[in-house]
Amino acid sequence: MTGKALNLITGIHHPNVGTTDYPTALNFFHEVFGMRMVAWYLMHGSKDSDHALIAYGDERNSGFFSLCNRPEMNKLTPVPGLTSPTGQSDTVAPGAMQSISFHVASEEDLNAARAHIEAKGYSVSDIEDRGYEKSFSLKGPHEMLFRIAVDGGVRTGQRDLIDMEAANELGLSEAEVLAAMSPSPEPDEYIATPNPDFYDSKYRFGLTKDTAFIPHLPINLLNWLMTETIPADQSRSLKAIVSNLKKMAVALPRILLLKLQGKLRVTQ
Amino acid sequence: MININKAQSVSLATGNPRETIRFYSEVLGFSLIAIQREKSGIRVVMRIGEESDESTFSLYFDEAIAASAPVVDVSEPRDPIGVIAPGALQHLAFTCPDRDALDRLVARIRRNGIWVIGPLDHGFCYSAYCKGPEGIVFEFATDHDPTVDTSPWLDPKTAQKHGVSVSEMQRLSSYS
Repeated sequence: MTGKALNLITGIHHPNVGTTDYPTALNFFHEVFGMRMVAWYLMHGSKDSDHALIAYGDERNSGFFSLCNRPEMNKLTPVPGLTSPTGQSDTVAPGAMQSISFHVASEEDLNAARAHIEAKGYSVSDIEDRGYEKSFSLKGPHEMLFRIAVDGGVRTGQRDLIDMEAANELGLSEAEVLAAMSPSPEPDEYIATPNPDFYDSKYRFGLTKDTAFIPHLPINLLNWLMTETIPADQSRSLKAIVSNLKKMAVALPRILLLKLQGKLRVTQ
Repeated sequence: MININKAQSVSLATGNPRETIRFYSEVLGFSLIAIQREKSGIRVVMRIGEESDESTFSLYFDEAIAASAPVVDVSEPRDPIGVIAPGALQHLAFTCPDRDALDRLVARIRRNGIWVIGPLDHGFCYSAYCKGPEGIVFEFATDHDPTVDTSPWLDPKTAQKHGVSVSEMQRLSSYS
């Protein structure tokens, strides 16, 4: 097949995980993993939801871990078997996160990391060699399961870690396995593509009465409404206040019209 | 001493491996590199990019997962700022190397019949969002400039709301 090589995604930017206890969680990432917080502010124009970005790696910010909170979360606790693995079992709900792995550069670094974490008083597993990585695990705040890993260097196209009998148990034929090993390339030319109708989308967001307008606004308007300014400017700058008033003046009549037209539907 | 230099992998549970594997390979472009038995289930590992030193993505299937279902506002968020239990994944953001890659990815996802919001400008990165199989919320992000000074985004009011003093926030934002 011809086409542009598929390097549209090249890494993990950040997993965003709920917290009801920022001080404990932030201290854990700082003291145990040696990470530093680089941002903590209200999320995307929200009035009461906030998130903290925690960086690792060098000064170029090679990636983040993110914690978030909104008031409704404060009534919830981790649910073993649904939102967090229990230790005896790796089962969580479909789509939920079992674990997040962080990478170190060498086996020497892996051993040093294990000793460092153990010295901090955390129970760590033995190092396992899974072929695609060598890693050990530990439990962190909110029952989160972490792994520290060295990549095994398995190349795309390599077949020796594919157990076809297990693949068949997953319902995959050999042709489907081969297709998943080499995804379709991108066309050479960029083809601007409009959104499908929101309600026909194969997967779609759940809309509440507060967010039901989102699929109906032009993307340029949404972008303008949701573009963020640094926290100091949000509260202190006259320019920011005028800008927010202008945004409300433009958006509210449109949203009211959509409501009168009966287009604001709530979905699961 | 610990020298973490990137996120190596995120592991999600799946009750419908055939559909989810197809989504991650055909829509997001990940390459399958391992299917192995592990404990009482089966582990599927995919390479995120094309180079052998890039991060991986992992799915885990067993009968108990297949028999369960996500619970909205507990294990499954409705949207990119939705409610979930503490410790649960609210959304998963992947890195696009530049704005061209992000635009191409958004077009590819839409060609697969999925509604995407964005790219939006967050001030220091562009992001697009969509839902995926089994209720997961994705973000796809490319930074304006990875060397940008992010300190203005450390908001003392947010820290104080959660019982963290300004000096403690400063300590947490320096290398330990």
